[in-house]
Amino acid sequence: MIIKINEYSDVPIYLQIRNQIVMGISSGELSAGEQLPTVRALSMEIGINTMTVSKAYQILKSEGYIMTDRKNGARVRTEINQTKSLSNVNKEELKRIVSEAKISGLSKGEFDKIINEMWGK
Amino acid sequence: MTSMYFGLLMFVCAIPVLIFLYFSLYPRKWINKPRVFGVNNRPEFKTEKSSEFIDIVVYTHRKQANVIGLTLLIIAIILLFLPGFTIKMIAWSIYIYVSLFAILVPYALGNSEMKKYKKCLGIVNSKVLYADLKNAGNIHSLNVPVLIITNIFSIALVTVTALIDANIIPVELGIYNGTFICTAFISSILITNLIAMPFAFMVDNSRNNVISENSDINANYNRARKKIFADFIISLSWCINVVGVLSLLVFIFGHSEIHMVLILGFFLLLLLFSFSMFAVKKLALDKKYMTQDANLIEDDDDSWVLGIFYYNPKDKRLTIEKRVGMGWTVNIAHPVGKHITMLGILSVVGSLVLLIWIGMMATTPIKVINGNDYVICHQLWDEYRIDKNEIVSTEYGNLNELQAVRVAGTGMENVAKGTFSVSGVGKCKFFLNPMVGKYIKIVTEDRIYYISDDTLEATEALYESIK
Repeated sequence: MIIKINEYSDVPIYLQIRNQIVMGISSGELSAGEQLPTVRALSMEIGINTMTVSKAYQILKSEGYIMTDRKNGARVRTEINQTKSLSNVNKEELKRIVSEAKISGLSKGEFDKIINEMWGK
Repeated sequence: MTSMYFGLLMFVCAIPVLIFLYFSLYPRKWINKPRVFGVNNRPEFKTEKSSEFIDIVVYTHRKQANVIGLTLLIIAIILLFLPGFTIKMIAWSIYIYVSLFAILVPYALGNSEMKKYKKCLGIVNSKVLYADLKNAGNIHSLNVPVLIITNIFSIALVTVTALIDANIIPVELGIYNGTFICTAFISSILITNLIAMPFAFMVDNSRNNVISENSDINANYNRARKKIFADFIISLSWCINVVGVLSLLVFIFGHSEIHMVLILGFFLLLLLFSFSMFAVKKLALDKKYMTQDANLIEDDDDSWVLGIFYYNPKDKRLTIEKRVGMGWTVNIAHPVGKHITMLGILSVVGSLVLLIWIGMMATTPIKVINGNDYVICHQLWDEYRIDKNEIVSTEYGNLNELQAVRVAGTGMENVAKGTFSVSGVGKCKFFLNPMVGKYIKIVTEDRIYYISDDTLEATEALYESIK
């Protein structure tokens, strides 16, 4: 899986890493139990501070997407806790996206089509 | 003879490097190359209007490079006919600095024009960085045990040489006996192995390039890229060890300076050959991957000052793959990179100062003053005072009958001064002009001196007045 970090983005780099790993798990690019690179290796690959990668991994761990231990490093969790609901933060974000779509004149059908395409990925 | 071999050697080493630089910096067809004057080649450059403009830029700077290249070639041929080893050495050293600078000038100008044109097209650096999660930190190609064995061999060879020099191993080194010149010479060759070792580890652990969305392509490309460099270092190390063994054999069985120059020449040719093999393999690899599979290229053009020096304070990496030539360069913005750059600048300045010093030494005649109490030998900052009351004996002789090697000091065509080891005598002080062909041997209570004046007549007159 390729991680793309935009240095000009308003989104902090640790969040970009976190988001892309979550998207990778969702799309199946990162399979359950797959080994993630060490903090040092990933920071060197991107050319960023190790603390930034460490922060991203801590968030992923606290959210239950990955597990870390001293011996095996970081891995994607084999069983991710399925709450079957959206978090409030994500609901707010989705609300904003739907609002903007409505204002831009997108029909519900077209919006559903985009959602379905993304869901299928 | 030594001077002629030296000139030929420099010519054989310098010209292929310049030709290689010329062809890698100024390709005739830019359209399929990954970069144009150090600026990433992109689809926007390949439109009809843009390609017309870039054709002109490439043509103009290639033409400038042609003129510079031809001039440098003519100068190199002229340098072959320069008289004297010292003059030749100074001239070639200056030539190497000037030629490396000159051949890069059209490239730097082209880089500046391409960056301006990129701005005109409204292309701003996307500053997107890529990392392949599957390969991060996993791709290694260095055969560590083999590399360590080559270095152990080098250390063992230097140890054996030192033991021979210290007479612990009873091997006859002739005139070099006990001077440690043999150890110094072989160590100076083998030290290349120890210097290369950290570079081998650094490159093997360096960042993997992300050229494709496909992790397998990235893995294959990076594995091959690192293997080429690892193979280069290991084969180079073994070649250097062979040169070390040959040098020791030459010290044991042959005792002439010409053998040493030939060994050094062989060493330089080996370096050139190893580097050429590395360059050919690397170019073939880039051609294979960059033309078909590469679809992700990081846009870091602005971090490359003149397309040559990498300066990016946000990048935490120390080593970056070069855009000019082959190998790796340092990030000047990195704290360690700043020190390495300073060291590089100091080495260049230091070598220029050294050249001036050697030039002064070669052009200033030696002077011997026969005073009332002392015989004073003088040149530049060096002065030997021989107390006349301490002189035990004097002797006048032919220099070509004397077998001597320099232990410490200066040894040029017109000046030999410092500590020399003379066959059958031991360590002595020299202060003479070898071109005179004669020497005055002065034995004092605690030292032996071999001196001459700057001309034969003056030397004969000096001997008459001293004896």
